[in-house]
Amino acid sequence: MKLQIVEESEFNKIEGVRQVIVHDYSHKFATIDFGDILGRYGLSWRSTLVDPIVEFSTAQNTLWIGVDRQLAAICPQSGRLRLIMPLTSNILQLLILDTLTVVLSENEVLIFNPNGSIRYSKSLPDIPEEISIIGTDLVINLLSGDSLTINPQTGAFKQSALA
Amino acid sequence: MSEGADVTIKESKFDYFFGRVTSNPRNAQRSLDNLESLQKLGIDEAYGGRERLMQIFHEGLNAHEIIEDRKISEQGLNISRKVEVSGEEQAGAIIVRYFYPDGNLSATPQVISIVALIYK
Repeated sequence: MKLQIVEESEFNKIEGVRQVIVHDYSHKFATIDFGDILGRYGLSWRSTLVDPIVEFSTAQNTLWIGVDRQLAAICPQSGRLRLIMPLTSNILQLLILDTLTVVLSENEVLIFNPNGSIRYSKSLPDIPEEISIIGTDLVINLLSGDSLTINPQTGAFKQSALA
Repeated sequence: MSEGADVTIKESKFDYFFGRVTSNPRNAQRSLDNLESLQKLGIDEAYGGRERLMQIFHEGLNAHEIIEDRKISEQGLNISRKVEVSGEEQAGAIIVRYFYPDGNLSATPQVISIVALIYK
């Protein structure tokens, strides 16, 4: 499942339903090839220095793709789209855990169940640096120096200032 | 916190906009992409870029809202507005995302992020 950078003319040959990530004013274009039977999907995005994040779920039954302000999830066995979602800010990180996928953007954190449904979403008070799993909690460090702790099973939330 | 008459922004955001965030490779790439995009639009921190951004944030308060980006959360209301910006090198726009605490549109909004669009 390799991402291949292509010219815009090559991207435009892909039928619209297979253009799973499309941005206005795109400057970069790519395809992801799922083989002879399932075929190729197309991506376009704006940022010249940032490439898409492409990650398999732990069970290998979903390929998550995120770049700029678009998120997609595809079943690599059937080729079916599990999810296509526009976001309101740029994606910074995908964190794949055993039973969930966490998407961190500049403005919010989204937690997805394995089938692509949303378990939890929360707006963030500042641009995040990173999200990590510590014990059973998700910890988000913010540029401001504050940190947020979220229990992904219950949604219990705590904000604290770093020393 | 930097303040104009009608908008506020955390100081750390300028590090992110002008390419100085290096906390991890992904954020560093995004921060450098912000720097490059702003420079294409003629916004350079060494030549009044911070003041130009504050001017854009002010102009954006009356700019066209991208209605599909509106989001209501427990903390307040997030609204994106698009400001057309042209540099010598490129024409484009900056999408400014404003946060209104408690959904109060009469309150002073905080700028929480930007997206620079470079037209072809």
